[in-house]
Amino acid sequence: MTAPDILTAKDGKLVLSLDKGIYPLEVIYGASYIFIDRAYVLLGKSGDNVTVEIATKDGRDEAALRALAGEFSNELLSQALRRRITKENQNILETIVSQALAGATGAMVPSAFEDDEDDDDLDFLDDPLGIAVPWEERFKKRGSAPAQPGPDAERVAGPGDSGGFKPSGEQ
Amino acid sequence: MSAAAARTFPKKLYKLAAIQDAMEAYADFATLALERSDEEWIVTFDGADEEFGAETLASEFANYALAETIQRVRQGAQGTD
Repeated sequence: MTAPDILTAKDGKLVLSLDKGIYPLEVIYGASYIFIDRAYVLLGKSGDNVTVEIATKDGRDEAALRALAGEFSNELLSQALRRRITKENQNILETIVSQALAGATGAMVPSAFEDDEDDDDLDFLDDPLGIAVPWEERFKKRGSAPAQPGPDAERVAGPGDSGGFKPSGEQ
Repeated sequence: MSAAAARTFPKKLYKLAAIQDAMEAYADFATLALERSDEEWIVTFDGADEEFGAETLASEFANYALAETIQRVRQGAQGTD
């Protein structure tokens, strides 16, 4: 990148000229915002370039102003790099945020996997063992015959039931 | 009362809403006037409070307007014209 041109550096005032093609407005805004707390910053136009007027709040000599120009240039580079990294990672950031929001709203399966043919037999809606079928519904289909008791069904004791007790005299 | 000062704000770089906000915030310290041209807004500061001076007030005003503009741009707010 080309360093900003110093147009003026005297009387506590520094004027830089920035090529808008090299330093996007977003980058200039970012660097200016950093300097607002320690200097007066005024943006202006000069043809296609953007001028940045930085006036110190406590009067400084020319050397200090030039040092300030260097700091501002560094900040411009920093902002440009931040902007580039943000753009490069835009898709990743959006994916992470959208998945986090989808998880928070209860949609646990990302839409990208919904139509995947390889995962058909792994669909959580499949129920090959009939676990999700209610007990009443499963045994009604077998007609009017007495329902076959399940392993955990309560069994009514019949007349031949001894309850497992066999007195020794009945053998 | 101190002498008048003025600041020029290019329309492509500053949001009008930000300048209006700044004018409202600094109204107690000077008599502010907004003039418009094709490409910029010009704010003049007259009768500035002696404690600060017109130049200091104008510079502080410019910082305020710039900060407000940047915040609006970052929030995607409109109001350039």
